[in-house]
Amino acid sequence: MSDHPQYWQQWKGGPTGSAPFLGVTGAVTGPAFFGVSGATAPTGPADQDTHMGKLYNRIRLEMSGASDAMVREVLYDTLHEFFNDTWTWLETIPGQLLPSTQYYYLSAGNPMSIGDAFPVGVIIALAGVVDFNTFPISADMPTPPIMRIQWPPAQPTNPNGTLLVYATCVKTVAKPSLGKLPEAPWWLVDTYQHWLIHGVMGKLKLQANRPYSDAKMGQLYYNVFRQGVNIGKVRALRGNTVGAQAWQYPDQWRTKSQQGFVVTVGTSQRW
Amino acid sequence: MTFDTVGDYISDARVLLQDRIVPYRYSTISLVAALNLALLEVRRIRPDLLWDNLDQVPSYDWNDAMSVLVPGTDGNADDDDNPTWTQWVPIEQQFRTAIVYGIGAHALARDQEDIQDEAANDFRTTFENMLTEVRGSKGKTPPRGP
Repeated sequence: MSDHPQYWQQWKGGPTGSAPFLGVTGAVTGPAFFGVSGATAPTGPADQDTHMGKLYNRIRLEMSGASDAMVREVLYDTLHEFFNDTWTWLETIPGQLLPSTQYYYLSAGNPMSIGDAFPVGVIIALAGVVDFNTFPISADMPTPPIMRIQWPPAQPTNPNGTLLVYATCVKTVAKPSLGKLPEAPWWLVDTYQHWLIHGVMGKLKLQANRPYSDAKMGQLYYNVFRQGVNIGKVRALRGNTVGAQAWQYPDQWRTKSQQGFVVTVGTSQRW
Repeated sequence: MTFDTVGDYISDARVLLQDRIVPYRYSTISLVAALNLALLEVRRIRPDLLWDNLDQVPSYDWNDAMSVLVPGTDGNADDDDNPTWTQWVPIEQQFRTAIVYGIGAHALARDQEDIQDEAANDFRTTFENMLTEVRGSKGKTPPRGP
């Protein structure tokens, strides 16, 4: 083993792993979390700047006459639309349910979350809630990011008087500060650059009375972007697998047993 | 010259206007006013260029009396000693040339001669084309022969 780099490691903090996931040791901050042993996890501001900056510059090269401010704004619009319509950006936040407490305000960017906790982003929907044994818990999110538990536990289930659960949230990009690029997960540009470029350029070309106005090509570009949105949505549903037969995404569109409560979901199929 | 400041724009506008010898044909205060007007026009045509200043378009005051000698910096009390000369003009780099033409257009439009009207129109077209078209010369007629 020592002669070869270890490209695949146990995710010790995963939901099927042992206690450290919920503990203070931190599950997703370890340097070898994602890849080669000892490699730095592919998150953080530097990677963000590299990926998003490359996308930004690529668009600026193609859009003569477009101001940087407008490109940044439309880039935000495009990412916002992409994540809103694909639900590809997930963060599974560990937490505790209290007896007889129905509502919880969820905060993104938890260092102990699974998935893309950083950049923080904005929670727009609830994909599912499971307990520590991945048993689904009926919940919804009428007003993001406030989670509502349909039947909160009547009795504490552990010595702390709480029930340990994981809430998987759907996120989108947060509004960037003035002059800054929007921040998205590190994999976004690697995976969807082609369609994102078309999305930004399409939206720009559809603007009127600008040097880069071109309604015909704008519509074409925008349609290509929407193809990417559809591809992203299906990939998210299938958990980024090839040839998967079952929907992998937390099944937010069906009810299992708690009919009529919109979201009765579990992430057991996901993992 | 990076066209960062009021002084950068005024200096190059004087090149376009062929007005680099003192006493100037166009006073500095009139060119600063032309800069202000050009920025207002940018706000109208391309508001995205003034993203940070949509509610208050930058405007500059010029007071000749403020042009004082700065010891060790300059040997006289000319324009570049005026505090307005070094004030920042917040326009993205690729559109700064348009502002120079906008200043020139307004300055020429106030002249009396017919030939200046033609030049003023030419400058204004270039100014607007640079903001709304890819080619700054779009729609312009070639220069007339002698």
